[in-house]
Amino acid sequence: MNWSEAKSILIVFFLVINMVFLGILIESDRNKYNVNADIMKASVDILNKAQITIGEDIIPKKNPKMKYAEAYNIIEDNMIFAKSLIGGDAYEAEGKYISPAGEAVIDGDFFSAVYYDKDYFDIAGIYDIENKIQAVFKKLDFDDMGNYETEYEETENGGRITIKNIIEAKPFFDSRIEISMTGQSVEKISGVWFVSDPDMISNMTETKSITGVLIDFKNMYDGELPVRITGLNIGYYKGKPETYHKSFVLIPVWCIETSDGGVYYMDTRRTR
Amino acid sequence: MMKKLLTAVLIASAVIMTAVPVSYASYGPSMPSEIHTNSQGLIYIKKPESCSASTSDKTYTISAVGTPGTVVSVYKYNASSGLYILVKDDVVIGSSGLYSMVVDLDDNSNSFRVYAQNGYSNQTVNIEINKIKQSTINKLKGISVTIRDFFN
Amino acid sequence: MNWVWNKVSMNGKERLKSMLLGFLVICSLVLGGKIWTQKKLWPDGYNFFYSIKKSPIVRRLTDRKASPYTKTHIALPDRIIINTGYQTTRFLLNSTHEQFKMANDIAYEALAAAFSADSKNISEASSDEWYNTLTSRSVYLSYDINYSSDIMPEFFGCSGSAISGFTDIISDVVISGGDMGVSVIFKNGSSNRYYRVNAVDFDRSGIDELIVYFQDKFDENDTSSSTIINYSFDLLFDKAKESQRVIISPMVPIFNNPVEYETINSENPTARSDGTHNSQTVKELLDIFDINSNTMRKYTEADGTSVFVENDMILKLSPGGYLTYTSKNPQRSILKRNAGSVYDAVSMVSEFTDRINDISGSNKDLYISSDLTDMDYAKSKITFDYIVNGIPVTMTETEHAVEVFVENGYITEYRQILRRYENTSVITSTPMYISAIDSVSDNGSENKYTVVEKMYVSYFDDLSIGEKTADWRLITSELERS
Repeated sequence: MNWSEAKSILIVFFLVINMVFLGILIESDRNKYNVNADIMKASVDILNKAQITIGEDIIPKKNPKMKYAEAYNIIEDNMIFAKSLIGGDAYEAEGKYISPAGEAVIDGDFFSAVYYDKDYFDIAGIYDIENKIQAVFKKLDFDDMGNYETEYEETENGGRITIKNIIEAKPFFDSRIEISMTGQSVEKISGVWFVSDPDMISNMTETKSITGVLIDFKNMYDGELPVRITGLNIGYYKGKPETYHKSFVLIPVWCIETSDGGVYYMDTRRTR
Repeated sequence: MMKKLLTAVLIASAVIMTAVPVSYASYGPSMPSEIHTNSQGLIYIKKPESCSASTSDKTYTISAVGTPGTVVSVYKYNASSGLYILVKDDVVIGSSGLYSMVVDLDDNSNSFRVYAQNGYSNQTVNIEINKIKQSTINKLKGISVTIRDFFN
Repeated sequence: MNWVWNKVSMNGKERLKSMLLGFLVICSLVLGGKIWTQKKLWPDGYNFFYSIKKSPIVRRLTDRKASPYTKTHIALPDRIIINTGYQTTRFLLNSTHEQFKMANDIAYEALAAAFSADSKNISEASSDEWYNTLTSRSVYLSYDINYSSDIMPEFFGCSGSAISGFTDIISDVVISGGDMGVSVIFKNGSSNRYYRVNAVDFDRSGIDELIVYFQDKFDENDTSSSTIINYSFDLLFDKAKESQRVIISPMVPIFNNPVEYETINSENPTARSDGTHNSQTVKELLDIFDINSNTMRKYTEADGTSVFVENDMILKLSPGGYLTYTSKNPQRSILKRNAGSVYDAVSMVSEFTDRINDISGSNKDLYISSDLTDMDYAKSKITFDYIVNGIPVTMTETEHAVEVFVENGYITEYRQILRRYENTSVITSTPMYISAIDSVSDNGSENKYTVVEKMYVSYFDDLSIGEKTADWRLITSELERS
């Protein structure tokens, strides 16, 4: 065999090798975010043994990617924010803010305002929820509140609108505003709200495997057994509302809801 | 008679009233050898101890402690004029009471006068600094001294 | 002709095949390498190459090498005074003087020899001997702090010294030529006792030449403002008399003239023009404190302080450049190997500080400002302060520029004002020393003496950004009048 023939054989050999390698990489990339069925089954078995059950229908088939986001508190200065809540004539007294329109409390990231003046928000003729919200935000000088979802539920005296913060199409679990209505008047507004900075959002990064998260949950759960996992959703979480945060890098978490009413947030960031 | 007596009293008063301020006046750029002073407690010379010293340095630091507010100046004796010439101008002693001043030395004998004044009180202290060669100092301090060393 | 064409064609084909083979070989290497290093192929949290990268050996080779300024400053005197034997002329050198290194090197060797001396060459000396030596040809080393006689020799390469059998504290040192070798007198500033060591085997010529060098400068009238005139004891200011309200400790140097210095500009090296922190600097600081940026929580406080939290560790960086680190669990801290002795702990802490300065761009010159005497190995505090142009910087709003709390060899708390100081080329001078002394006297009690324990020129930094000037700094105490 001469060198020319050897080269021909080697060319074919390396062509095949490269095809195989390419195939492995493509397949690996396609399945990168798929949850391995066998591993998931094994994880569910481990949970079952620990008396934690989970329906297969709520288990995601893929490990989602998440962006890191830095979000800014809409409260920059307590007094200025209090004035936007209950009027420019608000003053501070006995640990709260008071004006003829009502009174407000700001505790860390959490704010709450109760209105004596039932006509403070002129929304009597507005029936659409979204328009109501926009009217309230306008009165409070809340512009550019980012993305959100709304829920409405009827209550004894009127209704309650819950505005849930959405960051990069994912729920921001512990950031929401509740508007309690009595009839057509706003009785109370409360909540925690952060707005993400578009310049401070990273590219998509991998998250920890859901199977790993479920095992972590099993290890840290200290509630009553047996228990059933009723909800599994990925989103963002901040925590510690009692302390003021001017800005926060939001933590991507899996929100695990259990049949006993518990809600647990599991950090989904990869360690390395 | 009364007129003569009155004139004498007036002249005496004028003399006294002139003499008092003259004796309290600060001395400008020069001072005579003999001057009148009326205080001993304004300033106390710490260094040189006993108001005299020998050194091989080109300069010497005079240190003193005095009553705060006292104005201190230093004069140096000039043999050719027979006067003390001002070499260091007025310095007021502060609340610490400390005073120090560096004076330049000529070879051999240097006579200084420290003049202190506070209100109507004044005081002088004369200081003698002898500038000698370093080799002489070393010999005086030396552990082994021979006659030959001493005269070299 | 056809044969020629075939020949050419065949060569071209071979060349083509060679190129193709080479290309395929390279491709297979690249693809194979990608597969080999792809994280998905490793179990969660484990990566062979990552663990190699983070291994101590590789870290030692690849970690940024910090300039060892702080470490080398631990045993550096804050000033060296050359006594020429002339009563009123001495030369003060600080670290900016070109002759300082020369003088320090000679003094270092002499001290090393003294620490190595046998106990038979050590004896107690009188205060007269101490003062006589200072008024003769000698070299005086002034230190900012007191050293334990067990620790100080280690900074001179000696694992122990016979001197520790005579004194437990070393505050000041005077070196002079002895009858044989050099004579080193150590002062215990706590007991005010003195101990002479005759380093008989040490060549005194270095000390002699150093003194002659300055003596010649004096003789040639080549003096500068660094020439000081006297120590306090020269002028008898250490002895109270008559209306004297202030006593100046004997070794305090008295400057006849105002001291010239260059004003400096202070800035926060981690801040960008928009007030945010330099992100690369923050990343490296997190790394050095071993805080995992992938698992930490990060938020900003009301005053703009960035807070990074991971488990028991909290790192904060304020907009003003105040860096703090706390670790509630000392077992999981940043010093990976247990410091076996006080010397080890101090060396490691100073190395760590050097790395922080390197990363943050802070002023590299720091001196140790906490006594190295009876340090409790179980729990101690080590402090450093900045020094610029040989002049220390006094922080007026905090006690020190760097404070490190160490427990059993682990850093549990670290605080530093990150600062970069730059010269402005503006030369100015301090007031006369006497006006500073008068000021402290104004604030003193009527029936007590004000004692000036230390007096030196210092820059003063109130943590604001901008020009900083220097003035006299006095450390005082009071003494009842008898």
